[in-house]
Amino acid sequence: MRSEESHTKFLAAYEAYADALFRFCYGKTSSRDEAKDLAQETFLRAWREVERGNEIRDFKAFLYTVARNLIKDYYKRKKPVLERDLPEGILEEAPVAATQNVSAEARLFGDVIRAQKEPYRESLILHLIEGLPIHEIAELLQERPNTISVRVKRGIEKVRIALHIDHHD
Amino acid sequence: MTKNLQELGKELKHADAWSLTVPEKAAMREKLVASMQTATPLQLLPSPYHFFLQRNALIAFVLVIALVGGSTTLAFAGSSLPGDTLYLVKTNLKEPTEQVFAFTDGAKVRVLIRHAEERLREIALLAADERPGLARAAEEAAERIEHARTRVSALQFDDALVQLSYALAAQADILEAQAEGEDEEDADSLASLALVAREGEGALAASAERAAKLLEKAREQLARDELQIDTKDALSNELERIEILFAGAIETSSVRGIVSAERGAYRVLALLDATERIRDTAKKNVLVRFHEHSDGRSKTSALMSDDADSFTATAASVRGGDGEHSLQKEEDESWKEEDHEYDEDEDTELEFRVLDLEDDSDENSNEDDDEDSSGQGSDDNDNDDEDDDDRSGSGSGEGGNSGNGGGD
Repeated sequence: MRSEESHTKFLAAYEAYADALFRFCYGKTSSRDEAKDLAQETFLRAWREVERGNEIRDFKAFLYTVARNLIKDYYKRKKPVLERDLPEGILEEAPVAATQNVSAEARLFGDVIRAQKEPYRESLILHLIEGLPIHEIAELLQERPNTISVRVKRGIEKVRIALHIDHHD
Repeated sequence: MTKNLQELGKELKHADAWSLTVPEKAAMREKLVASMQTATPLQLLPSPYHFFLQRNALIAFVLVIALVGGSTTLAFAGSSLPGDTLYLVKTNLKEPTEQVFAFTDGAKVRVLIRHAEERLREIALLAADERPGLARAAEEAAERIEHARTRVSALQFDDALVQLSYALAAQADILEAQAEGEDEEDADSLASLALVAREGEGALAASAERAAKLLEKAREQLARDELQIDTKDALSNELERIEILFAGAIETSSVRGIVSAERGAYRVLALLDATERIRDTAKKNVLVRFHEHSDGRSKTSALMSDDADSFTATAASVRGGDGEHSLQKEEDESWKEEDHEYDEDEDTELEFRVLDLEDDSDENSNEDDDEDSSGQGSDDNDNDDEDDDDRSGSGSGEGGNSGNGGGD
């Protein structure tokens, strides 16, 4: 692949996945700044991979894998943040002031999602916010669809309880 | 809650808090493009260690290092001596490996002989360098030689056994010669090792037996030989001295003494043979005399050098007042047959001279005589050369060998 061509393709991938990746990072870190840095770092690493001449078959899956690893590293580096990452703390500190374009319900829903523990949180972000089907999430996270399905179901259960939503609602 | 979770999710997807703003996304893109452009040239610079990072290349590299390092170590180990660090590598790794890789019986035999020779060579070098641990090394060498001998005879290669015994005997001569210069313990070690190298078990007894035979033969030969009185007396004295030495050595089971006696007896015998030969062919008489001196070693070394002047000077000093024999040109006609010191006795020196008994009036015969004498002289000079190599009298080296023949 020629250099210019790979540039173009890579930037196209950036346009396509930057927002989703940012949301994914934001949902998992609850910090816009960290999410931006993590998303950018994810793309940079992906580019280095392209640069080395390594073929990336599934760009989207690759980006999510890199992002997840970076976030793991981020939590390892920043233990205090992890401790602060408790439901109460999150709800208080969440930078929700800017989200004027959403309903209070949606805002609360977002807070609850962010307050969930892994591995439910990432499955919920991808399923409920990004709207991805179970099998696609399974591909992205390199898990079996059954596993993801269970996680999504249990995650939704937790979210419903947190939001006091009736099952039949 | 009126909306279901799916709808809430969709709403959240477009929420400001959950999205990159346009400037944020553009800024990220710019950063990314900038690093992409700066990073690109790096692609053209492969890592200098790239070769080593490839799995196969790495294995190859390690193997090469191991081979080169290993073979270098073995090469250095090959020239190591007992007491060196690498000596263990040599005896425990290098040589066993060589034995393992000798597949045919013939190859095995050759390897064993080479190793036995190597043991003796090491001892000789140790002795020459005056390095410590000689006695112990000699003991180990004797064991290894015995082992080699056993193995070789087990392989039933008669020729190889002969070859081995020749090789060992040659080394034994050198060791015996070196034993002369060593202190008591080391000299005994070398002498006994020499015996082991020669014969193996029973070597001491064989050596004693040989010495006795040689002495007897020398005594007989001396009795019937028509020698000059001086010469006869000198050789008689020498024989007597050797016999006393021999008796003492037998009594104390001194390996060194017995070996010394054997060599001394042989030396006398060789002298008798030489005088007989010279008298028959050149009609010249031979004078053999002993000279006692205080600084034997330095004189010996002077005699062992090829310097004709020192030969002459010594000869003159030995001859002293013996005026009737000092008329001839000493440079041409006087030569040294033997020089030897006995380790356990006082330093003595054996002078061997050829005297022209014929009248000098006949020039032709004189020329013949000269030729003959110089011919003999050159022979003996050859012997002297050997002496230099062996660091001992020719009688010891040559004598040892024909002594073996005579004894057998």
